[in-house]
Amino acid sequence: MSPGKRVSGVMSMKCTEVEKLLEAFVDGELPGGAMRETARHLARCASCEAMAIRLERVQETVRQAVLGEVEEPDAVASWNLIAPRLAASSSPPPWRERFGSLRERLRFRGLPAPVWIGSAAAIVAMLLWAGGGQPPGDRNQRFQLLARQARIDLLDASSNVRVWNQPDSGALVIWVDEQRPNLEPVAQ
Amino acid sequence: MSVSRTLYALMVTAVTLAGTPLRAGADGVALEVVSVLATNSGGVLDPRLRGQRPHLVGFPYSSYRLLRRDVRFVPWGRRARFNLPGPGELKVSPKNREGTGIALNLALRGQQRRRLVDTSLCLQDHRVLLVGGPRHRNGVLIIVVGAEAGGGQ
Repeated sequence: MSPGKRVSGVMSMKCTEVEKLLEAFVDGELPGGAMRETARHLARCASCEAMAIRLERVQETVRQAVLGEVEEPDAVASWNLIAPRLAASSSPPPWRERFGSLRERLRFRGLPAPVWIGSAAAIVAMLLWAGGGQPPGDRNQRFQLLARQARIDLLDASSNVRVWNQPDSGALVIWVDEQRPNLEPVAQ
Repeated sequence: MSVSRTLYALMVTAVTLAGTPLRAGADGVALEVVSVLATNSGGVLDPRLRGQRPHLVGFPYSSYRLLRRDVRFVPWGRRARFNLPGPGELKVSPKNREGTGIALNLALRGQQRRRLVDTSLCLQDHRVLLVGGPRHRNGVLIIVVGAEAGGGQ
């Protein structure tokens, strides 16, 4: 494949364009659309694919070498060292003082206490009213739709496996191995 | 008359042949495999994982870090092999379209190619599946598998 040519009618990227993106592609740092377009090109262009494989091997070698040299940072230990210093250097004023300061500022702008307390109560009431409008049936329906994102036809495993749907996204989870999160299965 | 018919037949054949690569080029699935290290050290969500947040919040870990992201375009019936961080690998083979879903075979291998799970499933187009559990460093791997069909079969 000569550089600058398109691979077939369906390809929208030239080899020269793909070459420029290969490093970021191998690192997984391109935006979703560019990742897919580059992958599509590589699936049909042997020379670009070979270049991507070479690059991937080099990066994998570097990655392994770096991992061998650098220890995994222990974030908990670092935080335990930093936290006491932060607490000593800047402790915020107590809530009573902060509330008093806010009250003084509002009073200065000519807003008496009953006005802003009444406004706050109205806002809270509106929020409660807006949030409480959804009947429980709708929520179940939404969950059922989410649960249909995937369907398992066959599952064979050598170790313990647990399957559930993520409550927030509805994505299907297949959890392998004995070290599994302590969660109740949501749906099947 | 017969010459014009032959010419017409040739034109139809040429147009059909010219159109074939377009259809064939679109026949496949873009597979995205994102490997995430979940641990309980610290409380960090890797900024590159913001899009995956709704899928990860349900897990009982405090820290999620992106280790690897691969995208491959795989023709229907072919198999793609994704290296995972550590010794494991994931093999994914898109079989065919099933309505708005994509039928896939998925095989997860652990250390020394040990079989962890083999599954056949149907994943909705543009949706993701999570495969988790293999131990890695001080946590576990959560692998987000996404599929986007480029054309029907």
